[in-house]
Amino acid sequence: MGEWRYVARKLLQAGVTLLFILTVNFFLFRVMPSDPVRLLTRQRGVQLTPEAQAALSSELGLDRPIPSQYLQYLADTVRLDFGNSFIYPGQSVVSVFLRYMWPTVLLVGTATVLMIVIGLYLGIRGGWKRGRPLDVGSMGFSLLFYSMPDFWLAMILLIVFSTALGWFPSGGFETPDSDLTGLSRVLDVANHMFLPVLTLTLGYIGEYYLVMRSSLLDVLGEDYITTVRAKGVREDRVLWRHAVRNAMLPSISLIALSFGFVLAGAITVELVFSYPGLGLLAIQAIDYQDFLLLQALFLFASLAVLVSNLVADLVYSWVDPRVREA
Amino acid sequence: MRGVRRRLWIGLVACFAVTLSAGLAAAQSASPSVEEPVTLTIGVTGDLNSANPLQQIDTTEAFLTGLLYDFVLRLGQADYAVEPEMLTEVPTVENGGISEDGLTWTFHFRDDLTWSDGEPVTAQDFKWTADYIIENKVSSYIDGYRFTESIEATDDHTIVWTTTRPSLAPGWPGYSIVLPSHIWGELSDKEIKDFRNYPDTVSSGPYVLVDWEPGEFWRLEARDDYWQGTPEVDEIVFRVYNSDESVVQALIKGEIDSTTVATPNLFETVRDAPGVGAAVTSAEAFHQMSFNLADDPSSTAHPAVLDPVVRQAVSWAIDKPTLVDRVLRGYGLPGTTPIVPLYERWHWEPPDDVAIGFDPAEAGRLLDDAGYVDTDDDGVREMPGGGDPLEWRLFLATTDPAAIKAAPFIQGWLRDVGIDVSTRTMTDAKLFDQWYGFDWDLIIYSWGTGPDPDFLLSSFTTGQCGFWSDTCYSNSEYDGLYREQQTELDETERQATVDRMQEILYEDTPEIVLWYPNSFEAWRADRWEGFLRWPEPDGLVLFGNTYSVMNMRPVVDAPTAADSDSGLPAAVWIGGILFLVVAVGAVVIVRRRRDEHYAA
Repeated sequence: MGEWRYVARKLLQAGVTLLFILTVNFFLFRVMPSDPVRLLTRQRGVQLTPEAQAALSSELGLDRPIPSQYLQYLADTVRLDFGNSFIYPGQSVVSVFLRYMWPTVLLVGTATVLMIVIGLYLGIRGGWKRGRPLDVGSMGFSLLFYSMPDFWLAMILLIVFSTALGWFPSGGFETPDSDLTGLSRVLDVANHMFLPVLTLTLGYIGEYYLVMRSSLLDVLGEDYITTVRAKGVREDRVLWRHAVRNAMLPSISLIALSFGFVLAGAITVELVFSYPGLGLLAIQAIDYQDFLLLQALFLFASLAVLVSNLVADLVYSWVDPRVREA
Repeated sequence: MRGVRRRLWIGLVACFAVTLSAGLAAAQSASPSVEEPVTLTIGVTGDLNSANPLQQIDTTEAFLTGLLYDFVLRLGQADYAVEPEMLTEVPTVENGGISEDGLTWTFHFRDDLTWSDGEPVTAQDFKWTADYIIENKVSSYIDGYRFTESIEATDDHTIVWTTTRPSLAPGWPGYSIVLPSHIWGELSDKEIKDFRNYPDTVSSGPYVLVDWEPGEFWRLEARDDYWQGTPEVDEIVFRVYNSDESVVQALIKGEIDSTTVATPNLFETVRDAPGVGAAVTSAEAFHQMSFNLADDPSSTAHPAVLDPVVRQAVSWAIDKPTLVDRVLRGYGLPGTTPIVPLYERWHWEPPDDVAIGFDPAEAGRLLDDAGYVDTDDDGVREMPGGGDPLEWRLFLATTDPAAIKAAPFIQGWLRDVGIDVSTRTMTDAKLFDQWYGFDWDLIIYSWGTGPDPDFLLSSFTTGQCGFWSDTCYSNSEYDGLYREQQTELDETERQATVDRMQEILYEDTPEIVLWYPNSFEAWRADRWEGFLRWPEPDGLVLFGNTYSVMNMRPVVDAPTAADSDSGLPAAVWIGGILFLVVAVGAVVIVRRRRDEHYAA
């Protein structure tokens, strides 16, 4: 019974947060100093008559009272109707979003999986053989990259591996205008993705490494580990069956949260490698003041974090029943 | 045990080596036997937002429009001389194209023009486009239709344009676009506003748009039925990069054939790269520091900026050559008037006795004489008779690195003459809010226009306050001269009027033209030749220059961008992945054996 109460409570909390996000998102774009009508007309350099401005304003629903605009906004959001993008005339915000979403999911998703797997593995090995060359080496290595700014690391990798050595293309999602299909297309995309993934992976291994290593060290000091060893259990089993399982708990929430940030894109890395993803889209939306698009980007990014938080909570409670009691 | 391990490793390495060499061999033997199209790849920073020429907002989109559409008239390649493109001749009074009273213009269209879908280009297309532009006040083109009384297509190849006033300068619809009415005419106004003009783009120029992946690239193909002949460049690919640095790296690497270069630093990097050609191109724009002169109750301008003497003093206090040197690293010219020197015929250069140089003492003298003195000895002058100190706000856009670099210099020089300036950098949107809300004292910004000065000059007229006027400058003499030059039929007379207008602006100083910045272009000189500068000798090399596109050709036997794009051959990837799989497998096997060993 306790389980269900816990799940229901978490769902309710998520719902409240969602409503809060929606509300902030609505008002955020209404307290901005810029008048959308003026922005729209200025960007296209049009001199509108006052009547035309009023018409545009009513088309955008800006002449109605705020509460009514708010309700309309909620209804539109539920129907996933965010209006038309302004920088891409004639295309809906959702279609623009979806087009840029997949490259980002692929890029940041791959990098996230790699950084988690490698970071956790190094953390486990480092914690297990604390102070040994592998530990010292991975500590130095991961902290070095963790402390480098993304865009700087990206530029260096670009200059070395693309411009100088010519091993990888300097940017993009795939070779433009190629009619590759099947495996060769997959390889082409992988080729383009290699350096951005490498940048992200190198840059964030440290995060997982440190969390995993320190929680493993905590666990290794526990009495039950000594007991297990005293029972003559093989070292490998002590590590993987008994120590790692319990040491994983802090990493689980970290992992879930990382996936929440996949949709936020990797703005700086996408920028350096000219990767057509959500990070780039967000920058464009800001540059060109495409508020409708920006609003949707904010919403989806917050939604992703919200959902992954929820997942983290639920998984955590399943893995470690103690949290349900709390 | 050790033996097993060693054998495994040897096997692995051998496996990797075999795959790799097989892959390389395959890659080499895969050289194409069919004739590859000649492809020009241009790197751009900034996506194509719409292929609809009525919606174009940046230079990339304007370049695309130039490749897709012919224009009625054009500015000649060597010297910007007016030439016919879609017309058989440039209308003049002598050839009967302009009536004696200057009110009626007749355009004779060529009869061999076709749209890319095979339909003929007719006078009706022109009329439809003109009507749409006038009715909807399409900002990029409306300027071409000033004083229009009527536009009639008298037959398939003739347009008669009547105007309410005789004019030479501005009203040439000749530089306007012509769209295919058999396609666009079928759409409602609302549909045209949302029209992307892709797919199924129908164009009249040398290229058609065939492919477009937003955020990645767009591709044009040469038409084989184009009346001016088919260019040697079969395909043009515009490839999108997200940063100024990446696009330069891509050029050095050879992924692209050409790009514009954003900053002097990058220009100096790319200039020395092997195989790369690079050029400094003439300034087509200017940077200006505007004063808020708005005569509006909501204006928050400091009263001192309204005084022309103060503005002149500021001009004396600014060392423009140093700005060019330090901000532009020498790539530019000190500014005088808003008509850039590139447009030789219209640019007015102040004679020595009028020219304002760098002379802080003169600035101080002007301010002293006008009564702006420092009464409380705090280093900042006050308004005449005491009162408000001369404390001004200077606003800058985050998107304008040159202005941000220049601001501290200007701040220092003005402090030296007793004016305290605080600077604030803000987003374009915020800046425009301040600007149109008249809530500012000084703004540094940059823009530029085409060779005919009419539009630029119009932005200083009284009626443009709140629209195109940067300063809300108002001067009835200037306004009168503006109308005069619009209807002046004699070019020399018009030139004199335009000179006088620039002189007024120079003296009244509603804004100080700080400098004319050069632009930079770079291209693969090891692959391409036949560029034509527009205009000679220092104009555009390729970007925005259709003449070059039509004339350029690959250097014989040169590598192409496509060759260096792929990076690692696929086989290396396959080999790498195989290697990884086998390596992981091997480690697992070795571990398991070791475990068995322990267990045993």
